[in-house]
Amino acid sequence: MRERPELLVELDGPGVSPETVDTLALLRLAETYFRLVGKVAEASSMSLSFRGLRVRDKCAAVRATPNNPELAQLVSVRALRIISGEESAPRGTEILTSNIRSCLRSLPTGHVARARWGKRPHPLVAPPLPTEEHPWETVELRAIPVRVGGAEPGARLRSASEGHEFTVTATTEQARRLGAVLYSEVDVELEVCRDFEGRIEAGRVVEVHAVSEDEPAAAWRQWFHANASEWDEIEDVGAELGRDRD
Amino acid sequence: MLDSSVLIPALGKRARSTDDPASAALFDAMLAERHQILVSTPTVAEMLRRAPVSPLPRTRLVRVVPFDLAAAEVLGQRFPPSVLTKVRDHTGSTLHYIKYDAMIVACAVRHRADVLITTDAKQRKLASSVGLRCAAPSEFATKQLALKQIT
Repeated sequence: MRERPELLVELDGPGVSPETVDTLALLRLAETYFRLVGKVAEASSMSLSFRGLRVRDKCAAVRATPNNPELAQLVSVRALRIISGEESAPRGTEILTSNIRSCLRSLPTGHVARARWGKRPHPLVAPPLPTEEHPWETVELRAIPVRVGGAEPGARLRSASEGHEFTVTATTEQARRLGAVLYSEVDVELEVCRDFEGRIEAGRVVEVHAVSEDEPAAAWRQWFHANASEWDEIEDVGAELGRDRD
Repeated sequence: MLDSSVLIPALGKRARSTDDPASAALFDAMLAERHQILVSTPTVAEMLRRAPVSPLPRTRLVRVVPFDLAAAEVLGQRFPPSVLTKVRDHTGSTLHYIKYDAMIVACAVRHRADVLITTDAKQRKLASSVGLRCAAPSEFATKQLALKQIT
């Protein structure tokens, strides 16, 4: 009887065998990969599921049998492109894509992960992570430091302008200043790089600016009087600004 | 976020017949109620009519938000030149003004403003097109009973 085609995820590297492989690393990688392939199929309004599990000798690999072999082959190729960043992750697959990239990045040096359909192996490769040595965006945010410290000084920040907390590195002096205003608002200039979803993935503090406790209305009106009082002479602010009044 | 059309009357000393009278009251009430006010850097640019003599205040509750790369991406995605040109053709406004309006809306979207408060109909249309809630200052005013209703 002809064997049913299987999709395989393998982990290879120095000394890797079914007996020595990092169990959780392989299971996490395989689970995330199979779920991603299923989800990519779902994003194209198709259904794909896997049954069975075989651990393969040689390096260390797990195999599963798809319910629709042709679709699995097509989708697994697309999943490779999504994982490597050649193709954007379809809606609903972003988290799994991010997770499998994290799995791949956490593999020990020299270890490689592959997906195999038939005889030909396809390396599973995450796109290069932008590093803080190569920041490409400067932002200024009002933020709240929620954690400061570490052997390499850093800060975890929360900002209403970003949808998530993020961690940045800092100099010792910057970390001290941020630590002094833990859970309070502060203005920070940062150099950051973002992931494909626009989340801040890495970054470093450029400058920390304290937020004044002065009464805001008075401070702003005083600033306006000193810097923009010409507006008081203008009869129609809306017309001067080119606004169409309601 | 407060648009320039609201912030300038709110901070200025002179109340004009053309201003929405609720602008200053709204600014003060938002601060009294500890609501965060966002001011975009394009609004700062519109306010400044000469070289500034002092830096912007960094105070609690009023947050100056920059037109940064993420805001530029919002502008590029949601308000490409074809959209701005269409607005110009419908309103008769110049592209210069429309671009400022769009930059302020892009800042509001990028910095996750809950509502854009503006007196500008054209800007409200731009904001609505990206799902951003808009309101005029007077919409926040509490209706006062006429004296004859309580006597």
